Amino acid sequence: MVTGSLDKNAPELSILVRGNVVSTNADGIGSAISGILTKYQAQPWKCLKIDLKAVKMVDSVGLNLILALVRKLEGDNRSVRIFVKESAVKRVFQISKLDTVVPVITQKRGRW
Amino acid sequence: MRGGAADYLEKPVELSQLLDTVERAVASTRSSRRLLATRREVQEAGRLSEVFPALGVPETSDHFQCFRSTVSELGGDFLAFTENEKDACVFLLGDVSGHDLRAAYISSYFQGFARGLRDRRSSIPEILRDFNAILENQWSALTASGNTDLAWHPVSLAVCGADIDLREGVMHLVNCGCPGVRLSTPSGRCEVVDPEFAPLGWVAGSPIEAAKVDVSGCGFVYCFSDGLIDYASRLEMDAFCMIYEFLSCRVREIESMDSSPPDDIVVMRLQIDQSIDGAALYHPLIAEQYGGNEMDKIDRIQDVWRKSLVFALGDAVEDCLLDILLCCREAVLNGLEHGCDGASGKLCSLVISYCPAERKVRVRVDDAGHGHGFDPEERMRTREVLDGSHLGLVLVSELSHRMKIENHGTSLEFEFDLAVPE
Repeated sequence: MVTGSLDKNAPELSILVRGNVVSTNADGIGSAISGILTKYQAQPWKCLKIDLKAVKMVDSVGLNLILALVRKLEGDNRSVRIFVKESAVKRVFQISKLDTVVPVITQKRGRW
Repeated sequence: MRGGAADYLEKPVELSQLLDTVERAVASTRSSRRLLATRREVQEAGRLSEVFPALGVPETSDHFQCFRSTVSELGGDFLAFTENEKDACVFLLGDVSGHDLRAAYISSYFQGFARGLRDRRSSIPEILRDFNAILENQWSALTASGNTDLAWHPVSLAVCGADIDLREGVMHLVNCGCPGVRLSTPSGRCEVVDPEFAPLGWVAGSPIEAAKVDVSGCGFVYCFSDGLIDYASRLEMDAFCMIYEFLSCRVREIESMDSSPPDDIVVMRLQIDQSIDGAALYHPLIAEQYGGNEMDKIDRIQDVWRKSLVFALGDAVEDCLLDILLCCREAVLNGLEHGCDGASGKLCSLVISYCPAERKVRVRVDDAGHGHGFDPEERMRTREVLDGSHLGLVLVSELSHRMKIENHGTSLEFEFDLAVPE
């Protein structure tokens, strides 16, 4: 459901989330992300890229999870960028005004 | 053999083998013809059962709709409906245990019995009490006579009927074992009138009486057999969305569904105030109650909402389906957590209804709590402060087209306008 990878050239840490980010799995997703952050803590990455392109629903608990993550990384002088595909998902970031504290980028699948 | 040959002979052909083979072929053909004739008779009996109802043949009109599906040619479920010029109507809906010839026979017997008594001005409770006595006496007699072939599996009949005065808005309802009669308001709220008596044949001397129900403020009265609930459960949908779809005449043949119903189904819907266009009323699509301890089941619950809405509204709901689901999720979780305190004994109800004329989906969530004393508008303004609080309320408010909070916060109602097709 959650996988992480480090792009040493960027330097950027990427986290890919599959499935929804909602009340019933937010704890599990939070733990998985914490594990990835711990694993790459010592690496010199500056930006966390959260890939939510496979996510169709983020509820209020999911938004709070992401907000807490953004706040934590701000304290570590690291930034966060979120990538989404579904307009419905982007809209919840706009409505909640989370897009004012973290860039939310719509990225559709490109033509090959 | 695949082409229809009855048998085959090996060379060299012996006369005795040929005669045996011909005899078997003749017997087989006779058996097939008997089977075919029996099937035709069953089909004919099935047609007859529809033209000899207990009251009148139910015919769909602007204010009365019905749907019937049987597992076999002859079913045990029946529906009879009649109305007169004095704004009064009567319905009788029944479900005999089983869906075989035996069930069909009992169904026909009851309908003839009911029709005879009704023509002699017997009330519905009187008819049901008398038939209950017949079942009890007949099966007792069979048991006493040692006829265990029949007595080991007694017949029962769930039946629900009512005399309705549409002008006065009064329904005299008798329900012996059918699912509770549903009443919906013009705005889409729902109420269930639970059955008061056991199915006929269960309790000797059951004191069956009619209950007086005020339907003056109702939009629709719904009555159906338990086959509908079983089918909805199998498809993991709410029964109301199936009623809406079946009665909208879009699903003419149950065979077009992905899965066959396990039992006979009969459904009826009666509009009480017939001066209003039925399409201008809100039709319930989902009406559920959840215990306070069901928060961890919300994903499965949400999937039932999704299937139900897609089944009833199809492509029309596609554009705002995710928004509706998210808002319902937030509202129900809030009700379960804060209104019901997570307690199994406290219930949170959800009703999703649809107004075809206005193309509006309305959602209402009521919880069992005492509400709150804060100003929701003030809470909404806290979204300027990104502390993560009240995000659920903010999502419902912004994603829906209209929202209102009532009863100190124990009731939340919000609406979505579906796009007008191009």
